[in-house]
Amino acid sequence: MREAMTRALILTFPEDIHATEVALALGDMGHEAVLWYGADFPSRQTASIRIEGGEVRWEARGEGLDVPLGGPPFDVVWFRRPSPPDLPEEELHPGDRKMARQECETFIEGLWRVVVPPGALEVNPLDGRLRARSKAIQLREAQTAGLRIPPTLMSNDPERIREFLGEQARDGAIYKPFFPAQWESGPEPEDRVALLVTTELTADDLPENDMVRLTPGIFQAKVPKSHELRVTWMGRHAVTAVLRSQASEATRVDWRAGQGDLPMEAGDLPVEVRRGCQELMERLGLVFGCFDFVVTPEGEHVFLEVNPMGQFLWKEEGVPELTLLDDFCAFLIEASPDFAGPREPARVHHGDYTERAREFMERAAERHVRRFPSFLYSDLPDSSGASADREEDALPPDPQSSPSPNRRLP
Amino acid sequence: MKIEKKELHETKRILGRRLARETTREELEQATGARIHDPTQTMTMSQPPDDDPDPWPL
Repeated sequence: MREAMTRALILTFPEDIHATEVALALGDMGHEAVLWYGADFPSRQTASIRIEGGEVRWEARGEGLDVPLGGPPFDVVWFRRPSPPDLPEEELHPGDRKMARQECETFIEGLWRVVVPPGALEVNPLDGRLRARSKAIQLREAQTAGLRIPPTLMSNDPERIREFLGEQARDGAIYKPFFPAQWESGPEPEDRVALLVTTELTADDLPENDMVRLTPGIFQAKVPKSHELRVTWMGRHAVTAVLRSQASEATRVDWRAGQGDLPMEAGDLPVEVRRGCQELMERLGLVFGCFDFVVTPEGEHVFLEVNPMGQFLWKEEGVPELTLLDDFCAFLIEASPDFAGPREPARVHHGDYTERAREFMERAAERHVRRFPSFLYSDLPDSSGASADREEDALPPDPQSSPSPNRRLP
Repeated sequence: MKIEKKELHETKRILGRRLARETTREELEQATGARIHDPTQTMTMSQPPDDDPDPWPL
């Protein structure tokens, strides 16, 4: 374990409870955490990369951020929720917007590539993160790593999809999107919210073929479940929660539909599954991930996916002995991909930080450019006209008509 | 909480929207005990446990 202070750079957005609690906890333990809110660029933030004399130095300055050129290097860079630039397009000539946006994005993407000094821990390496975004690569590599996966079809071909669903007719099939999605029709209590999670389906549920073609999806054989596992992987350290998803009708197909009342307990992984997970992490180039497994009534572990930057504090909320906040901080402090778990009893607990984090995020949201969830969609018949009716926090911002209230400098 | 799969045969919608579970803001907020998209919630259906699918490549 490092004795010296660890310097951590955390790329995220103002209302991220995970980043906020980790930064506060690291500070309490005598380390330094710098929160870098990416959407502040370029309206509230400047950045530079200087290359000369065989050296590459960078800096970023802005509201609450001061990383000077050639300052002390970071020991760990946590790409928690790196946020793209938020260009104040209304301040630009329409003919300049596309170029300005492309230049901002290309510059920032390049900047992210140079902020990790040699020898520092990158959570996760950007190339690994990109690679793991592909569910197809995940499943291919999981098979190679010896993990069992469900028969899977990813397609927009109506013929192939109907054929696959026909093959699964006896035991059933499920559909899931590549990312979670949510539609909202407005800010009022009675307004509709439609939540898309993993869903059982048959060929009868498919829309007409011309509509099927317009959106590919993931179709899998339904796997019989005894229970499910959520495994948070840090370096070589795994924290496993058993999710009793079959206890309730709401969570039977997808435990994410449990709305926080999912029964869970601490669990463990069989040695061969653990070995497969480690190999998969290495194949994908990840050092952190959240695995989802189904455990069948026969005790077989079936890999569903690994999220390169999934949420983890909810497990500590459900099972306080799973000290995820402390474990994750220890991972960053040790700053090693070979992290094998904390070497001391837990010093920080999620429950002790929630209120402080809430206050911190409220202040941050006032001072920084807010970022809205990109899985959120308007469900109004004509979403282009939706912005006049909605609350700022109810629906995703329309970049054409609804500039962020926090974007302009005071 | 009433949360059900709604058939949307009256409009042409993609498969994902057709299979999405319908509720209201009020019911969702009552079920989660928090405002929708409350950032202090560590995991609810309005704070998914997985990656934020930001459209940007990284």
